[in-house]
Amino acid sequence: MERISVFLFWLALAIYALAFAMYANFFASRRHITGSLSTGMTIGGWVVHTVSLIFRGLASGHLPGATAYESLSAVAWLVIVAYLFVEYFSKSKVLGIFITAINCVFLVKAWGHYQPPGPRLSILRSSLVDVHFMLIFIASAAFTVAAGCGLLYLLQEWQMKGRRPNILFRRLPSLEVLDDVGYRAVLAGFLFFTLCVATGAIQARQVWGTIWDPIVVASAVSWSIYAFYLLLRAAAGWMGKRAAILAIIGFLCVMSIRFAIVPYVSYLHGFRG
Amino acid sequence: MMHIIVMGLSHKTAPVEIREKLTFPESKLEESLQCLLKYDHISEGVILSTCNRTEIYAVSDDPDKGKEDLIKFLSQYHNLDPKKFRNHLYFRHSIDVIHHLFEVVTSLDSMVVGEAQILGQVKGAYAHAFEAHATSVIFNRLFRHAFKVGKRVRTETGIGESAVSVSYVAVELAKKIFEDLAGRTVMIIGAGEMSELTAKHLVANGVTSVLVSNRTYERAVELANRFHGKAVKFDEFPDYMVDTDIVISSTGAPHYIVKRETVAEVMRKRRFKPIFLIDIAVPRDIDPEVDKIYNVFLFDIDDLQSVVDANLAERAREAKKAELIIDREVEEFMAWLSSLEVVPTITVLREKAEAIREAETEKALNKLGELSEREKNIINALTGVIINKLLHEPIVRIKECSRRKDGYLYIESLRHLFDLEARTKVEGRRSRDEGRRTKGEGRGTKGEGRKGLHG
Repeated sequence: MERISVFLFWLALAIYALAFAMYANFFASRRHITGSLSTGMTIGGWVVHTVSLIFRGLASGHLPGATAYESLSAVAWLVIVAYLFVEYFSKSKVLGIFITAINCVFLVKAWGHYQPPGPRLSILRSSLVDVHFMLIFIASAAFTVAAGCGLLYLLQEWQMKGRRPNILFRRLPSLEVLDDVGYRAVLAGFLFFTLCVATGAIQARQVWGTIWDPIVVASAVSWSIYAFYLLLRAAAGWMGKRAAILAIIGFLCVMSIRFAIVPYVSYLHGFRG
Repeated sequence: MMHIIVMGLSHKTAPVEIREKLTFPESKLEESLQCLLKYDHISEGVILSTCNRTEIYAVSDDPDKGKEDLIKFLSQYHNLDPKKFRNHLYFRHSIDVIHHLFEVVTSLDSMVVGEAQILGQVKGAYAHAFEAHATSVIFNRLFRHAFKVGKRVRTETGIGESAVSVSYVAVELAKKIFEDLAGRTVMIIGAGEMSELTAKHLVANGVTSVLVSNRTYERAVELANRFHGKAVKFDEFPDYMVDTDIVISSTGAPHYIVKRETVAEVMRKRRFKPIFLIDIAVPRDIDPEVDKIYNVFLFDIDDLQSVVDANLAERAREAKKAELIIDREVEEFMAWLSSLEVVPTITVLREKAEAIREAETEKALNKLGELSEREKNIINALTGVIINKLLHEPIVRIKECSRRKDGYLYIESLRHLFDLEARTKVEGRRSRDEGRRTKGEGRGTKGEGRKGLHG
């Protein structure tokens, strides 16, 4: 079972990499065929990826998310879901280049933490923990999309203000769309992230008796950044460049939790148990 | 033998005084085509007549005589001495015609490379010719192929993508700020021709409400009426800017009329919702410092012009990509066209018959079991003779017919009846390497045919 899962994992990674090449090719050549292929491959890779995750779950007997390998794979999977919605609604494939690339990075990184399937640590055997995982995966996926939009927004505005319209300028969606999609993604991400922090706090009190840990501080910082984003937007009608920058900073914070705090700094929270 | 030729004159070769005398009105196009087909050496024809070009495409059995016919037709039709326009004409023949048509249809030959109209114009010209039964096998295929190429170039290159006039650039930029112009408001400050044109394009692209502000209020009202918009008193325009998305300014004022403080105030009031300011006045109307305010996008006339220049350069680059596509497509069409030659068609027909004969004889011999060498030879000879006798008449006749002006029709029919179409592509390539081999045997093949005749 696990062998199939691993094989499919690599197959999915290969298809995503091809999809990245297709998105890049479409961007440069505008050939209709590579445009359809890029989206088709992303969907194909995602289906293979889905089956891989199902087999992993069957092999280990629990939802994939308890180890570093599983969690990154699951986030990558959700990023694709989120992206496919964005592509469908924005009718632009430019973000696909960024998304498929970062997705490949996630998967390669996941493989670096590969562990054979096994029962979860006793501490993680709780439905609250499962919910906690799923919430952070969805939030991460949404924040990734938001950061992608933010990045493209900055690029597009830079071209506009610098009066240097080139190929990128023409292919990128309008500022309004980038801003709007980014905002929706942050809104969704923030909602899930808030619930995730709440479930984390409840679980921490129950298991450890305390919630004080570097991860709490880092989470609070990330939460505040996104809260600030939404607050300013609601209060001052803020949009544009500064919102884009905030979305990127927030994403970096969340990623630093995942890639620095959890594995190296946190006393309690981690995959090493 | 058939030849494709084109005769034409365009903005590149003839001044408008000549071009306007040699146009074909669309309403009479079918009559004109009927006239054209009456000439001895013309078997198919399409007349393309636009304000920038007049071109007559024709299939002829003789390129030189066909050319003379075309000139005669043009001069008789327009009642004009050929001497008057002959110098402005260009002629192309065979592969160059196809290349030329593909360039025309993809707008590479147009005055503004990348313009979108020409494809529709060629489609119209072909539709008229088709209606008038002036097209047949070759032009039906050629023009449909050309439309495919036109479409391909439009989707696969960015040739018609970017705006190449100042007012369109303004629309393009507006669409890169606001996704949808529907429901947006545009304000014109200073009623000038240029701002009116730009506003017109914006309205055509979805902008719904138009405000006009002018120092003379009457002129503002006049222009506003034309757009079903609203006139605004000149000293009140900053108030209206709060709810405006796009501002086009082109007053004759000698100093800035939209100052930094004004816009800063407006932006505060509109909670920094993005605004697009277009300053097409010289001297400028809007303080360039305004661009530094958050979410203000200010473009002056030089900025717009530099975008136009960049877009023109981009089109030139895309045109190179289009050339590559055209080259490939020309090749593809030529492959089909050469299949309409009589010699390869006969070769393919013979090959097909021979393949069937061999396969069926083999089957029969297997069923018969042990046979002597002599018996086998007799069976082989018998089947060979049947094939050759059966094919003899069609081959002799197709050779005769192919000399006629519309001979390729017979070849096309033969290919269709014997289903040789599908074989051509593979065979075509194979016979090229075999071509050298069969050259020596060429006589042998003929000899075989003759043997069949006597046998």
